[in-house]
Amino acid sequence: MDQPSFWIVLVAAIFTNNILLRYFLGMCSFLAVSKRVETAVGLGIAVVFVCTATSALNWLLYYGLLNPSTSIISKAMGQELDLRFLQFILFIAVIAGFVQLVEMIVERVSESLYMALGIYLPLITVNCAILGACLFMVIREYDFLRSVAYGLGSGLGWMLAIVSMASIRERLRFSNIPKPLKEVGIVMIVTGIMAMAFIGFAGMVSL
Amino acid sequence: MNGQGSDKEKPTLKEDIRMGRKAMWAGIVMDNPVFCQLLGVCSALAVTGKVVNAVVMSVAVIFVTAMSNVLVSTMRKAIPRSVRMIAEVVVIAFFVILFDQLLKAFWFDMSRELGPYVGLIITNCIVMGRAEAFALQNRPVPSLLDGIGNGLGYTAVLVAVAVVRELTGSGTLLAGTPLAIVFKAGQLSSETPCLLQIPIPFEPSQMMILAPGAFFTMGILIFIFRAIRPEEEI
Amino acid sequence: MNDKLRALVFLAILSLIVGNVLAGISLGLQQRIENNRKLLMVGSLLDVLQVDGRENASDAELLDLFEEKLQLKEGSPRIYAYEEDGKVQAYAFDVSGRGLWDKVKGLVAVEEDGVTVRGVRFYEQNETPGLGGEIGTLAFVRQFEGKRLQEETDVLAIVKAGTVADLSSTQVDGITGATMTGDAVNVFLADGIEAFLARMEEMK
Repeated sequence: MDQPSFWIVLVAAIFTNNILLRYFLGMCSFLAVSKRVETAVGLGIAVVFVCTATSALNWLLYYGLLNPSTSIISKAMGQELDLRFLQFILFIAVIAGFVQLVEMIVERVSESLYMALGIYLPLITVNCAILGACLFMVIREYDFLRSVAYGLGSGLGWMLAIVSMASIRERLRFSNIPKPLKEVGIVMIVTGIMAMAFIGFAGMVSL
Repeated sequence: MNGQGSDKEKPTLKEDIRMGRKAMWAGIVMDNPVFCQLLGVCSALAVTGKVVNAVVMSVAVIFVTAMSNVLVSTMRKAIPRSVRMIAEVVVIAFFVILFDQLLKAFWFDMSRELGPYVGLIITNCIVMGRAEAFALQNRPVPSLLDGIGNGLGYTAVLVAVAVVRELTGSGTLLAGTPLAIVFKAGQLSSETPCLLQIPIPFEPSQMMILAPGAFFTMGILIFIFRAIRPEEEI
Repeated sequence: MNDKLRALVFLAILSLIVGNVLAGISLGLQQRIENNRKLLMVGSLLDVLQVDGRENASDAELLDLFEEKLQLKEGSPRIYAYEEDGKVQAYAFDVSGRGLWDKVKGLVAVEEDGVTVRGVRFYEQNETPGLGGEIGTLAFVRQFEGKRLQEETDVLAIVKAGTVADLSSTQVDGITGATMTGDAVNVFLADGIEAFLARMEEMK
């Protein structure tokens, strides 16, 4: 009864605990890239991929190197070494490095994929949602499988939010929005309404 | 990218994309101080449920921005251009971790309330933006002041949102501190101290404490701000 | 290339200095932070067990009280026994599980008879503020005092607010508008109680 199941973690991360609509993370790229559905989908997919992979990677590195009771450094040294304070730097470095790596691989492997996705990759390094997901995973003490579920869910939830926003914004172009509210202002308010809607999902994951 | 483009007939599409997207991100965000300020606040909206949390968060940002500005400025002649962004991140991370550790040691409850959001200051656009745009070209003392100034700008927005949210959402101000003021008819809670109780019979709106409240408040603040100063481009 | 080498060396030196300073500071603060983490649980434990001397005690004094008066009986589930002058006054055990939104952690304390509730605390929760979040308030958990963990086939549970006029010894009135949180709590509360009672049987 200690940890929620894989599926609950996944579904909750997408709907009830949506990383953007409930935890405000990833707003940066969200505001900038949610103007067209096409680009939103592209960025969304890239985020899902990076978020899942880096959650897994960072989990391994956190528990393997930093956490005093489980790290291999502790075991090698014979005494517990608490390096948890380095988690911020480690996570960012891994995320940035991973994105670079993916960029290089995609560029070599598939020209068309690079054209389609390549543009978004540097935007992901600055996406706080990914770093945020890693930090939450540590705070909530998820095990490996649940961390992967959480990373996947967060990415999917983020993508759901940005694609929904993009489709709304495409229609908003034809509305008469007062000038001071255009762009960022109205996006904030629409996001608020979306957040309200998502609260309705509470209790959906059966107890 | 090295400036060898003149050897080839025309830069390939790939190179165009590479140059283009760096410009895109920089153009939209970093070169646009108002937008950057806005984004910097966004993730911290999570802590605007209580004014005291917003204040501590703001102190963190002022501290990190000012100190990393000073350090980057002091080292500015020594930092090799090619790795300057990485160097900036290392410096910023240093101060963020420092603040986080101090908070955990001396105000553990607040550290738990702020959660991962202190750590997320590392990705905050404002901090990085000032280091890159100002500290790298200026002396330490002006950089310090620039950092404090920008930090205060952030504080103003964050605390404004928090005041609105706490007032309309819980009917209190500064709950969690000895200076708490309770506005609704009814008590904060039996164990926490409060300074003043002003019984106004209004029912606080639950929604303001939850996420949508933050988004709405932010949207309305932006609306007011831009209505007053239309020349600011976002 | 000279430039690249210089850049690398610079980064290496910077990282080393930063890393070392941070490590030093972290080491210095480590004990305090560890204590703070411990105090989270300890404070709630002493509170729920109503241990004498916990009022107005400093953090260090609380930790001392914890060491002296409380005895941990290892195993699953963990049970803390509160002893005063060699005689057991009360027991406490963890109850934790998923609330409506996130994990909820709580403690239940019972008198030496092993059935009458001495107190309940939910010291970690992220439920809806003002609704489910009320389970974190003293006012709500006070209702549990004097109730029984189990009465024949009924287990201690939170009922939907205002639906039961005459609350039995295993029923606690819920929070208006927070039925779902109440339901979630009931699930892991029942599990925790079941595990505790089973272990108490074994220990006899």
